[in-house]
Amino acid sequence: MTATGRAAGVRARADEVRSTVEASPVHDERTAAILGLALGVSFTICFVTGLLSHLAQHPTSWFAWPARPAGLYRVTQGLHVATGLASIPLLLAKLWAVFPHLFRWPPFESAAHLVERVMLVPLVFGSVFLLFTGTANVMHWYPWRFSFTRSHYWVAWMTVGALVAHVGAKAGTTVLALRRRDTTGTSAGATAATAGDGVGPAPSSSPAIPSRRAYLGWTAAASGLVTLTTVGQTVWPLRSAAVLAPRRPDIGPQGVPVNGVPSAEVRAAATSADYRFRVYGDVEEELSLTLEELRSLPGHTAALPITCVEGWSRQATWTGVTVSELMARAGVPASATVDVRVESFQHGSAYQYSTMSDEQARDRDALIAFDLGGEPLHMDHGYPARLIAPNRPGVLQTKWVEAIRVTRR
Amino acid sequence: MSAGEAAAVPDGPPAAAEGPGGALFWISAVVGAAVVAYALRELWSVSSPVSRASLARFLIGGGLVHDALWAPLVAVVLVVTAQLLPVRSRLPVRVGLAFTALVLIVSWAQVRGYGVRANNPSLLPRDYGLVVAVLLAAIWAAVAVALVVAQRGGGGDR
Ligand code: HEM
Repeated sequence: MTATGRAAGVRARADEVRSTVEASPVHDERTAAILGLALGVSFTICFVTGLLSHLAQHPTSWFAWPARPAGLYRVTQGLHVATGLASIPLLLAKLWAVFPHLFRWPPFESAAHLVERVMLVPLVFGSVFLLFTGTANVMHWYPWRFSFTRSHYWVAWMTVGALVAHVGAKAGTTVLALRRRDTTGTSAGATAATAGDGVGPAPSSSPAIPSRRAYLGWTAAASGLVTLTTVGQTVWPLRSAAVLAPRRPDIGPQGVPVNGVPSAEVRAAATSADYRFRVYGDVEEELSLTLEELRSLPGHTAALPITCVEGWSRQATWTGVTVSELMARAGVPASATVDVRVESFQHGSAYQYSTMSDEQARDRDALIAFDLGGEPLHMDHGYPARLIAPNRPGVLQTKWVEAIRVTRR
Repeated sequence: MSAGEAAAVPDGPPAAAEGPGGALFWISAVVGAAVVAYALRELWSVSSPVSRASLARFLIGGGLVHDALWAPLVAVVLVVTAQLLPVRSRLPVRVGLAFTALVLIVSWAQVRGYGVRANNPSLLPRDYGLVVAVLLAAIWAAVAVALVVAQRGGGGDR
């Protein structure tokens, strides 16, 4: 073949691709609108549940994360990770549907159109970033050198800002595209519309190009597959289907998964014969208890989930002494409003302390636990004692506890 | 795609053809842009130079990988499958390829074992290589069935 012949061949092929794209309902407004709506919903769920997770870990003066319902964080964070993972096929399908527009010529037609397209940059780049970093994070893969939480948090704001602009730009088109009767939903576009009855979608006339229904249906199936193979990390009945999840809720020491494991120093301090559990701060009488003394106080058993920020969870039975009981023994009046700081042997780590509001600390099930499922805590679960309380992210269920400090407001 | 858009105008609703504008557009553009600007400022200020470089690489790199590698690759796969396969076989094979890609994407980190820690056996507890092999076998078994059904149904129009 000569060079010109080859060039002509390539051009013919390109024309064929272009006409296929133009005829394909995969790339039309209605497909983009439906996928856009789905992503709008899933990103809103991710953003709201993500903000709740942020607030649970960084309380503000105007929002105190409640102690009840006990399983609330389990639902919100499970939803966050599950919705995020299910969005991967949605985003890929949406970007493919609108990909031809990337090459539109002229690139913009008015000032408003330019603004609209510029705002697509943070939208697309932010969306890909959120889904990638979120997924890598739950798999404990950190190929980057920035702080995951802070970057994921602010990129989420950036993406949602761009989403607001995008919704404002596309609301009209979307409503119209969704309202229009679906006569062009099949492969041959306008031809199918004439061939069909004009009401429902006409049958696909070329099996090579998927109808819109097929494209959207397979996208939904792909989201379903991702969900089915991961969501069992928090939805107990689906645990054996969670074959791609980073956790299985029944695998781990004492049948409970573990996130952080103790360093050698923590291990040494936790197993030392000198171990004392202390209650101090604004108290009448400081307590300093051996593990035996702690275990001999009036105990309490509670069924509470341990819920990781990474989206897995496990319901378990914990036995220990309630924080209220400990405070009462240290002479803190029941009428006092307190803040409680739970202190761990993880000196210098981000997890050394966690704090509890008065409501959280005085909850009937807020426990300094020493048993899990009727047996002493495994070292990886925080031996000799850990905090377990309702509705807290796992990072705040402090392990290897040496003290609680009470501050009166 | 200007030709395509011109062709689409007759059956498209008139409002869609007018392009963006109006109060809703400008209000959301201004509010959205303000949020984007604030978030970018915060991203800049919470990071050190090292993490900033890394953040820029991932923020820009992810979208670029999609637009410059992934999407063109999908286009090439569409062209190649159109060349190689009879019309009736294309959709099942393409769906099979798409599902294969998806499974590889969402299992990549697990199969590579990046997050595996010897002292924490509950993290990444499965044999993910095996899981992926089984999933891919199931996907391609389904494709094979679909191909047989498609052949029976149509007799091939190529
Ligand atoms: C595959 C998708 C996603 C996964 C797996 C994922 C995962 C996570 C995880 C594990 C956290 C907890 C971080 C921590 O506290 O240590 C988190 C927080 C968060 N996520 Fe996502 N995420 C995804 C997508 C998204 C999307 C699409 C948005 C927003 C539109 C979003 C917004 C947030 C926000 C605002 C937080 C709170 C960050 C903080 O506490 O400061 N995420 N995400």
